[in-house]
Amino acid sequence: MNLKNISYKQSHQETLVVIGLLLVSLFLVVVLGNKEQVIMCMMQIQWALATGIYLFALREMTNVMRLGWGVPRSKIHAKFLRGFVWMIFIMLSVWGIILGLFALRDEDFSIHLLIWKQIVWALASLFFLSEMGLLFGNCRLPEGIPFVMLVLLLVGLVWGSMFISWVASLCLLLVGVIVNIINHRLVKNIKVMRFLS
Amino acid sequence: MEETNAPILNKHQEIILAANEFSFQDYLLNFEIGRYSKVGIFARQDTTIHEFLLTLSGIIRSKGLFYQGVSCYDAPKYFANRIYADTSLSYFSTLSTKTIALKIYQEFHKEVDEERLNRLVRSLYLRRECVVRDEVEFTPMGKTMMLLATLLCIQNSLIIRNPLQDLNQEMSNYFVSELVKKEEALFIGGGSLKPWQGRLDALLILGDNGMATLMDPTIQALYLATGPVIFSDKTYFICEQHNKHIILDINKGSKVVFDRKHPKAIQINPYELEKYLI
Repeated sequence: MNLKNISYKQSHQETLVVIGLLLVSLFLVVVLGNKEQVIMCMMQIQWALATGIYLFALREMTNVMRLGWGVPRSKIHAKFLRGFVWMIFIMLSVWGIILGLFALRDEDFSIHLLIWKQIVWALASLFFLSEMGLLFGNCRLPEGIPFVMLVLLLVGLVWGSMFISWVASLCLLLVGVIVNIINHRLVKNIKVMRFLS
Repeated sequence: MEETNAPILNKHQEIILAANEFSFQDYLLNFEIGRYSKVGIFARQDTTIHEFLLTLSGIIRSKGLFYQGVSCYDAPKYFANRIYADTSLSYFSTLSTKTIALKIYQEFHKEVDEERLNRLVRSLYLRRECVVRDEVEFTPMGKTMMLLATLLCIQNSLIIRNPLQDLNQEMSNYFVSELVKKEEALFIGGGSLKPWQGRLDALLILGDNGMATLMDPTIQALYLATGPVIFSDKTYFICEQHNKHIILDINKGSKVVFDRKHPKAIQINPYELEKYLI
């Protein structure tokens, strides 16, 4: 790439991500074989993904180069929301494939309620963390604080995942939506955000 | 907080930027900027200038600053018509004007005059200001030159921080003359304003104690006075250590009083203000 920091890589990244995740999930199912281990791995992948999204959101919202050359924050926010919908689709597909493979492999396979709770919790965490990243970027916090906040949030979420319940996931989603509305107000992006606020 | 007594800087031009009770730090600003105006910004602290330029460019939230009647902050229309550039940042890692023009169009929908940029890259000998490895690494001077050359080829209002950073005398003179020739509005801040002497329509001075003004250096003047502050509503900088202060424009009515109170006051060059603020 020839323009540092101000351009996204123009490649089929999304496609590669989908293919990569599918291969990883298939690998996990075939090699590890243990249902609990596979689900644990998937959860860890999602935590790593959530961290990446948080940092990316933070960087984009504070990237003076791109903002300076004409990308408003409202556009970044809108892009993130579209990306989030796309990501949910990917993650649900991967979960679906993994569970489908288990169902094909094990005749007595049944999906425990806890798995559904874990999936919802993980997706709610992704949404929550990406919105927090956008919010901290918007607020122009002093250097270092967003990273401390990230560690605290991650510790909180990982700890919280030990006590997963529908109510906890719902609360997390609710907080995510509230932060989303705050972000919306901050960037005045009414058109794209109407469905949430 | 003091309100600026700033002139309206439109000179019969269409107004693009208007500050209406625009609150920035301790300042309360009121001014209007025309489409073709060239404005220099001066403050004692570089961080104040930096924050002001970011606010002016709509990156930092502001209240009372409008672009064509709409709040500047995060306004897509404003963003489409202005560029904020900071010469301390590295924007480019290529000399290929075709790539630069294409990328800027793809990412920001801004048209670059590729032909002119190509001519500039050649005529400014930018190849001498870089090292080509797996990507092009510019020297500090080359970095600024490449950025300014690109900005010259885009029809947008420009807000530039430290525009002449790392440039030699010759290049400074060249880019100053080219930048002021551009039709669109230009805001510059940071670094010395001396090379811009006689080229700017106005100077926005962000002084001490919330005093700020948009002065026209062709019809207004700054004086350096010693002794106690008498014209508090016109005193923009106070250097307590040397018992000196800087006063803006004494009108005819108060000139007699001024001369009596400050017999040794001298008129100073507003483009060299930093010299007097030590």
